[in-house]
Amino acid sequence: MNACSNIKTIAKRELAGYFASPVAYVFIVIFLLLAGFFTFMLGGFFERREASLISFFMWQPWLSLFLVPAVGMRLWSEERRQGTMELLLTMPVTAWQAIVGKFLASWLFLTLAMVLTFPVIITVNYLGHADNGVIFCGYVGSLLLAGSYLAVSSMTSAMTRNQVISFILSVVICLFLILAGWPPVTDLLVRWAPARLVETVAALSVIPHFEGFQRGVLDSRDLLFFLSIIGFSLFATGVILRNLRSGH
Amino acid sequence: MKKKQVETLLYSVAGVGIMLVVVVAFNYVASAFKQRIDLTHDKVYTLSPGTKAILNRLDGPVEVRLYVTQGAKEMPENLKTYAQRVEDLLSEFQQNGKGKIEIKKLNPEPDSDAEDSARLDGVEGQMLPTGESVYLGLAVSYLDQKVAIPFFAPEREKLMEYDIARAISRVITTEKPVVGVMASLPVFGQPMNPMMMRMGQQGQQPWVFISELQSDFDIKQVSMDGEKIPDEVKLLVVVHPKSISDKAQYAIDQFIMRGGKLIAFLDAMSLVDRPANPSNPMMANMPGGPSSLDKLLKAWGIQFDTSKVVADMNYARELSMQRGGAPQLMPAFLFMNSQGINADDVVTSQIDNLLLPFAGTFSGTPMAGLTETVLLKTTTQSQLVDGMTASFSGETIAKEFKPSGTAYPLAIRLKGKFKTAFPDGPPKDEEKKDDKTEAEKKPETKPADTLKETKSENVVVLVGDTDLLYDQFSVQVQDILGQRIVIPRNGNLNFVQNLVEQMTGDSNLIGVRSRAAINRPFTVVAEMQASAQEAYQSKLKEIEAKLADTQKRLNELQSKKEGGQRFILSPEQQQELEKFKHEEANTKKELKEVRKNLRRDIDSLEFWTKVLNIGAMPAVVILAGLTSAFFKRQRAKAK
Repeated sequence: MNACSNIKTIAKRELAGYFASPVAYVFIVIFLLLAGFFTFMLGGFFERREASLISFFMWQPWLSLFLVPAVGMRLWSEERRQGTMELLLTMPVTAWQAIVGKFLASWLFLTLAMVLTFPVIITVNYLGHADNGVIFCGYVGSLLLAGSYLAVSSMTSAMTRNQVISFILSVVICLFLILAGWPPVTDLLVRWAPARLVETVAALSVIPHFEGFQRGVLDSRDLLFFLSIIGFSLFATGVILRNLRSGH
Repeated sequence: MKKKQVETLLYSVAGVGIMLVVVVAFNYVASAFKQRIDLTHDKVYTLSPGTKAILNRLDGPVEVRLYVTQGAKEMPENLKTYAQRVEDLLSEFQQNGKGKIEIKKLNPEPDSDAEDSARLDGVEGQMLPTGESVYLGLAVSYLDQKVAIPFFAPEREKLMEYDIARAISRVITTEKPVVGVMASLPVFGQPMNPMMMRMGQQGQQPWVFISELQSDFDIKQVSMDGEKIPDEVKLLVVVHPKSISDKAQYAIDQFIMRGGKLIAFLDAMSLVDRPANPSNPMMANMPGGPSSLDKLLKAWGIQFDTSKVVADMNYARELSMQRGGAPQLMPAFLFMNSQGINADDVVTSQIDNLLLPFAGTFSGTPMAGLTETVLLKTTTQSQLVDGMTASFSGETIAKEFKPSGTAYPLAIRLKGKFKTAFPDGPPKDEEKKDDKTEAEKKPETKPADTLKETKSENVVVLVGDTDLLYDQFSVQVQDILGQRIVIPRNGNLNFVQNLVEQMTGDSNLIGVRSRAAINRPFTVVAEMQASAQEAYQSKLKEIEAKLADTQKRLNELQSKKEGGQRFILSPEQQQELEKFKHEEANTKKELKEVRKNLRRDIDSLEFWTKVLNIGAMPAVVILAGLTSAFFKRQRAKAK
């Protein structure tokens, strides 16, 4: 009960922090512009003449790759830079409550950005008979994907007090999660690693799991995959923060 | 103190490592207890009732051997994820198979036992451009029956369930129903001509609908002038019975009276039927004549219009009839959508697009005892037109289009007790009637042998088009990794397969297959095209009339001239001609304008879709941001 309200308080404070400055608005505008541009100009939405959001969801992993770390990069490095982290952690909240609270706030913020893409759902339903089950599923997948990237960003953000380094690290890790299953990566690994390990690494790729959602199937394995990434990254964030505290 | 810090750090790094192992292991274990919720509207990823019914018929263990190349290196990424989907679907089969389905996954590496087994099972390795060979196929075996799917092509994804269900259905069904095919078109292909072979040419393959049916049924070719349909034939498919003899019609009649089922594809004008050895080379490009089963239809109370084809503005599309030719609207090329397809009938319920080029229509009321179900029909934006005109100039048909307000039936099913069309016994042998060699004549069947009525209810399906069966209009044959892959263009093939399957009694596969042809087009654009076309049609007509008028005046002036002047233009004529040329240029411009207008609506829809989707929401957000900033400043000032 207490933990819940603590998390809620932190999440609220964090979310309010986003909208206190123009950063939130700038981010949402850029996200919406890019999502629209990719869907309609590069994705060939109209040329497909098909009432589906394939061209919208197709770009989500790539769009999130750069925009989500931009949201997550300041989660902890900002606190570290300003030296407010000690203050935060001396408050009557545990480290993990703070981690979850901050993560949820950012995730909620990303959800808001995602929700604001709703005109595309209206458009596709106006133009033809769209399968809204598939669209809903696609959004769930996109949110989970964004959540995973965000958790990774939270981890990298805890590693350094420099936001730029945090951003770059996070993009690299997320890019790895996209590319893990791709032949150039697996080829590189197959030279020196046993096949089992290569398979395991390839299984870390987010794309096949995301594709499941795009097809309109909620699969427990895909859900678990993304939740695992989120859980593990947040755990790692906790370990790093703990070490920082004990290291000081 | 320091030691403790190092310990904590070590413990943490190790902790992260352990956590990673735990998470990976957890994912691995949990994958065995997978659950999935299919959120697609048509439940595309849930086994259909048809598949479940087939699985319910299993009374012994069925072994499925799945051959997948598992090396991360050889397999292209798209095939790997596709293989995963095949596996997923197979596990759905397994879960629904009540323990009767055993799945073995094999990795046919080069020179392995698994590779030998794949070869024995008829599963083929696919050569990649890199020179490597990969496997993604399966073999199903039950008792001594074995069926293979040599390769799962990702292009056939929507048919994946059907392909597997069919393979299982085939191993557990020992006897294939016999389907007779009587055709005047070369549906069975043409054997290789020795002369042609020497020139390096090959014979023609059978049409895809025949080869597809051959995998489920025992297909028997029935001669067009046979006197009796063989007894083992359960279903007879008649394709384009052009100038069919009364004797053959009698044979079909008696076949129906015996309880045999009939599907007849008739046509008012067949595009595929071309004269084999035309005396006039021009004739080679002429569509062939009509076909009908006149005697039989008459007995059932049905008429088939062999002189007219039907044009429908809602089904029309722009097509280039000749290679490189300008596209023109072809109202008699029926690109049928769900509007005209009977959604309540099991044969057609899952089909939402068909292509019927130049179809004829049925009319009349069936005789007492027969009930009629319309499977396919036109919309009310249709009209009967002359076949030849429609085939040569779609534009003319479009210009003079006047909707009759009738929805014409294109395919019907008759059900009930049929009465014979030959109550007086078999027709007299027309050819031999004049012949005096009576002795040579075989003893005729006595009228008493003629069956007068079907004993129980029977079914006949009549379709007003034959071209829908032709490969070019129904499928796309692609050469993928060296293998011939058939990809349906539309629901034509499904329609025929569903019909045959339903009529031969096993309807379980119908629900499985029909998923293939579901697509979700932009209906708004299609409607816009239809209504815009209609609106501009009258304008087009007006312009044409003006042109014709000028032409007439010019002709009048020509006829007024004296004999000697015939070939020289008079000043009036010259003037008229100038005027004509001027007007012609103007009209052409106007016509162009009309076409431009047609495009403009769609372009503007596209434009506004883009603008609203890309720009509107960001604008709202900016506005919200500015408003909130403004109020914040106000509040700060007030303080």
